Amino acid sequence: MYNINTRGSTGNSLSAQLAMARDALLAHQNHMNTISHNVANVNTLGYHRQRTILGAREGMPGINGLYGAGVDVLAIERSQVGFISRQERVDASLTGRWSAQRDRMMRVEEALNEIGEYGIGSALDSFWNSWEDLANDADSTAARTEVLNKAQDLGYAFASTYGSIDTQRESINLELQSQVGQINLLADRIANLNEQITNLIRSGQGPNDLLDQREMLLIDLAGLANISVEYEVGGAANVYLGSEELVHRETKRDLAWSESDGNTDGKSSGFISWADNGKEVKFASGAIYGLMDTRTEIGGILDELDVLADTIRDQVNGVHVEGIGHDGSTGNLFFRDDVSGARSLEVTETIQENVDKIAASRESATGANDLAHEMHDLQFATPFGNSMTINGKYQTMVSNIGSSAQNADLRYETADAAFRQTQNLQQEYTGVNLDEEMSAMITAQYAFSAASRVMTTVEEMMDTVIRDMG
Amino acid sequence: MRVTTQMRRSQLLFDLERLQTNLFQSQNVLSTGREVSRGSDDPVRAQKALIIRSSMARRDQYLDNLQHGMSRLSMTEATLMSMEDQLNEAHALAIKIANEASVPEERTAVAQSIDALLEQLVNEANSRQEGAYVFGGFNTEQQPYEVVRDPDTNEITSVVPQTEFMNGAVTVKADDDLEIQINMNGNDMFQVGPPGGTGDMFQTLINLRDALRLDDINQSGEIIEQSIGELDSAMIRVQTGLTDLGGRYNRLQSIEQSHMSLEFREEEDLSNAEDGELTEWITRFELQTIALQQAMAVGTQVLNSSIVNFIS
Repeated sequence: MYNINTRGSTGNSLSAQLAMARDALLAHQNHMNTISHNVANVNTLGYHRQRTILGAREGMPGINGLYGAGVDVLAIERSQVGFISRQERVDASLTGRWSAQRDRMMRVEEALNEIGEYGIGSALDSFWNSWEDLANDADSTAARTEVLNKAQDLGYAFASTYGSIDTQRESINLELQSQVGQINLLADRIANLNEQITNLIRSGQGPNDLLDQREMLLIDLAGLANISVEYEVGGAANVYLGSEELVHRETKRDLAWSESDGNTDGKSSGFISWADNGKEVKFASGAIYGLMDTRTEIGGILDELDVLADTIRDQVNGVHVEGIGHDGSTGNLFFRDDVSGARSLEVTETIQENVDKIAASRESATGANDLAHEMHDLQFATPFGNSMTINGKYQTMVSNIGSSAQNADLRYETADAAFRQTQNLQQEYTGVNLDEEMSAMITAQYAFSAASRVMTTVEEMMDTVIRDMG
Repeated sequence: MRVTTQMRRSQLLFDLERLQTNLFQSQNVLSTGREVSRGSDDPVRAQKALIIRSSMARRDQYLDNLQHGMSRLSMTEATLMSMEDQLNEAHALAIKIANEASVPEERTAVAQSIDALLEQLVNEANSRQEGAYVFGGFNTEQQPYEVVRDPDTNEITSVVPQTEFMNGAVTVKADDDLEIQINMNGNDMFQVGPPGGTGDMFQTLINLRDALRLDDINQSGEIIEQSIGELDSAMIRVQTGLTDLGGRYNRLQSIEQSHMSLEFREEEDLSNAEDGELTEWITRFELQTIALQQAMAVGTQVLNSSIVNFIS
């Protein structure tokens, strides 16, 4: 009998034509398959449009020349543009960096709670003014109690502001730790995908959808840290973090979080290192860099708060110790000087127990108010040089934090817009357009119908041969 | 340019998000009136607002101080005016006795009146405001003028001032670098020079009272003459004090005026630093609302248009 089942049989024979029609059906079905795959993934993030590439099969020489041999599926191709993927990762790193920095600086700004009514700034104003209320009523115990209250409010404002900014630092450390875990996880999954992709390519199969997955993971990774990627012909993607290799083919290296030691000021900060050799990882972009940068900035702000609180402590004590309390006592400190920093701007026990030890004068226990005026005027003193007052120092600090938050916000907007543009470009080359797919579907459908018509016609022709000529 | 289905959707989402963010910002400004509510909104304006707020807080305190100073001064003025009246009365009595022939009974009665005036003046020199002695410098809790009384008659024989701080100046802070004295020192008016001397008006009255009781008319007349001269000086000192006090009061008042007008200007500055131009924002808000509606209309139409709708 005719061997009609032999795939690719050629030549000018009915069986060959039947086989051609069958192969055409299969090819167009394959095309339909790709189309439905594309349509199904129209909303899938990171999906790259695929295409069935059809090609005419090589003909067979016959009496009258070459006989056509029908169609063949050459490949299922995944659209990709290398340079866009690289740009996408760079953009993701920048967006990650500034997004992290912006979010954190906004929180810091909220912690300062300035502009509004209840920050350190207004506590300072109230504190200075309370000395004038005392000056207006130099013998009054009530006015002294008010000075004590305002001083305690000021101490509280410093401590709570310091506390909530410090909380940001703590939470940055926690976030960094979780991001180390995330990098390790992503590296692990990328290494796994490298293995699967290499295997599929080696066995001649297309790893299209796995490539999509790997690209997505690489972008996620880039959002966290500045990475560069080298693709091997065999299918593996090797990932570098700085100059060190994070993923090599199917193996990866772990990162580790280490608490730095030797910090006694309660401002301990961890760092990220390679688990195998303990070397510190140097970041240059990505969310991790943004967080670390912000952490440094926050450290600076906390130091400034400490300096500010200690300056107030020294200035106020320096004047107060020379005064005479309402009870006639002399040489009293106003703020505790056995502690330091913004978290412990506290009025001495001596004064808390007896507010009449608060001095209003250098000369007389009663009636005089010269020292109370001096206290009020400390706000005009310039202990920092450069005609910088205590209030001025604080206002500058608030303004600098605002600038920094604003800068991070602007940088984020720019980076995000660039990232979006690159993503659009990526989409332009690799995204799915439903209308395109629909028209391709119609084409495939017609081709399929035509092929099946060929098949039934050939069948009729065979029938004729078998029945009428048999 | 190839436009994919995801691009159309994400562009619409991005546009809506951006328009809604802008709208939210406008809504925020319009409902609070504030354009700068945090440093990052505008660091320069925010810092300016901080400085103005601080200056306003200081100015409020100065206004309190001035109020306090003026109230102290006017209470002191009332006391001094009453003392001036008493001195006047004593002076008039002394002149009357000096010029007219009088019987001893009459002189005894005048002595009685002078003693009453003395008691009253000492009492007023020791007067208190809100619990604090007024004329004793820093001696606000110690009576500035102690009296020594005759054990038999219980009449004042001398008035002894506190030894320290009688000249202490109590000031109010009127401005960043301006302090103004608000107390009047008794030593400048009632007792100039050593106590018991000619500048001590209490001693003058004691002398006058005692002189009226003397039998020796000549000796008595001499003392009365001298007392009249001393009372003249004392009255001039009190009057000078009153003028000085009035001058200070006016000064405080004019400083208050200037603080109030500066405060008004600062409120304007603060508003410029923090607040938004409302009409501008309302226009912006309306345009944004329209833009958002347009984007929604266009977006839904674009998302709905597909060749799928035309394939049977």
